[in-house]
Amino acid sequence: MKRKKNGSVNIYKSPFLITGFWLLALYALILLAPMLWAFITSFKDRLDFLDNPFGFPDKWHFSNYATAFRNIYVPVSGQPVHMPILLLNSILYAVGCTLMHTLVPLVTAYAAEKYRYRFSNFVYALVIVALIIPIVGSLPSEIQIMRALGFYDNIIGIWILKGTFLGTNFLILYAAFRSVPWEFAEAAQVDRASQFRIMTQIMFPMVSKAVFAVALLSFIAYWNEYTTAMIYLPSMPTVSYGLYRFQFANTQEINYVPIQVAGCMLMTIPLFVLFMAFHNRLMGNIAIGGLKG
Amino acid sequence: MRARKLGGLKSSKRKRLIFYICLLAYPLAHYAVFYIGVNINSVLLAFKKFDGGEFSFLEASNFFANFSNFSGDLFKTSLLKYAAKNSLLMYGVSLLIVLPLNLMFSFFLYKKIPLKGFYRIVLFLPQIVSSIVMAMMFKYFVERGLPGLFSKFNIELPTLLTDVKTAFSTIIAYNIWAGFGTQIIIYSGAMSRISEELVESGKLDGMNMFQEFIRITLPLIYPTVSLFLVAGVAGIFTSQAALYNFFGDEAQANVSTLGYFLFVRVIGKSSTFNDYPYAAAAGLLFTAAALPITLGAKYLLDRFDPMRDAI
Repeated sequence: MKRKKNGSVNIYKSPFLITGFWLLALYALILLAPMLWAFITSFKDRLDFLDNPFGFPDKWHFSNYATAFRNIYVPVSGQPVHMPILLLNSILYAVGCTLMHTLVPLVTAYAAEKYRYRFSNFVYALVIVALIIPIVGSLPSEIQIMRALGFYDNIIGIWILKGTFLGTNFLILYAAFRSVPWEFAEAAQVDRASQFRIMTQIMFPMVSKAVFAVALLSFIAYWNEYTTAMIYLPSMPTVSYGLYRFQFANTQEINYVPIQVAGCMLMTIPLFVLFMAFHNRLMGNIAIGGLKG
Repeated sequence: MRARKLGGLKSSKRKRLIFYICLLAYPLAHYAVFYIGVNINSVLLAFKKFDGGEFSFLEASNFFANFSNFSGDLFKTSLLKYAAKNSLLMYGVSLLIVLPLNLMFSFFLYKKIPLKGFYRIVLFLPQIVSSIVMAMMFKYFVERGLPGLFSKFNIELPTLLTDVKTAFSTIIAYNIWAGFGTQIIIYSGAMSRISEELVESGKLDGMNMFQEFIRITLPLIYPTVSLFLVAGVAGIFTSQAALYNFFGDEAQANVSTLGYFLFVRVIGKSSTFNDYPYAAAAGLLFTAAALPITLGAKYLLDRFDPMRDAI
């Protein structure tokens, strides 16, 4: 199939691609319409929204964002924790968890893929078994263990909890290491480079694209996730948890749609900017092996 | 000289082994505590009660009380019947609608259709936007926006998320609407690694795009797809279907799922430590049900692996 000058394929010669193009267009419309509606609504006042829930605002109320910012809070020991602290907590939570959930799978995937001891196959099998054998309902037990270890309501404890090699991050990084030949390390060994140096200065840089993609995906997931903070960090609520509570607020000042969706936009814009800056580095840098490794 | 060389080789192998052990020490310690420890504790918890401020084992005569309480609830209360039915339905939707769409959308991106960059961002949006934000926008749109629009045409919409007739189908619609993201990246990444020569030879054999998708692309990314399929079976028992985002712990029984039921049982407003053993017992029974399904799915997927003979 011939390609156009911009690299895209000429879809008109394939009914399958034409269908795909319009299917994607339809999905884009269905996905973006409520988002666009929410964005426009976030600038309306209460009466304007009631009169005209679908059109543009009579007057653009940027102050809705300030109102949402002021009113997203989580009470901790009877005292409200407001946005600046929630943001700080979110940064601590998301950055720490991302580091742990990237570094631990990175090191484990490196060891399992590049050190061909029999035990390495066992480590890979552990990941696959944990992935395919579903253990359901371990949350109460995990809470108990976290309390017993003193990790409950402790940010370092949460970072440790998230520092697991189980999961897809390991599989992505394992596949990345698989595509890097060991000959580079052998050449360094001849030059008497230490194992640590080979790992950090030769092998890790060669999978840096996959590491970046994994880290970015993890950061987005942790920034957005609220249940861990809700369950394990009662004294350190995050923005995401603040927003979750915000939707159930019954204060008159904020319990109407434009303010609520302004809160949603506040939460989304920073991540959207981050994604737009780096999305090209996500695509094509992630692959995953199968159950057989 | 030779002895010294041999000694050097041994020392280098020993250093390599020590380094390997150091690399794996923390991950395996973590695994021991947070996977093995947590799961063993979960099994034990299923046979305990919370009494006098601490957990203790149930009396021998009543040892399986948590299991019998749960199985009693399963057959007596409508909540769990709804939850089981909805969970299966939700899994069916993810298997029959979301997965094929994920694969096809990934293929269209891989084939670089026009506006690929735009569609790529759109398809990844549900991943960037927090699930709580997605749920809030969807909720306000269907409950406040759409009724306002329809009322202009004198059509009265029910409150889609709370009306018994429409609530669960609206939740399903939401889960399809917000069901794309990381899998698109992983599938299109896997597709981009397919050899160009293979695709070209398919074209020379007169394959059209749909045939290429079915005969070349899907078989070659089958390991990735089957991994997600096998891992996804547990979703029947764990998926909350975003109910907590919409309703907190106050979702109506008719929209509940098994994952939501267990989650709320542990962290709901009215939950106490007394609920932990019950939830652990329920989890154990779910695991016992999920295990054969998962292994069966894995067996079937291996059996029908299109590349099985090629390996």
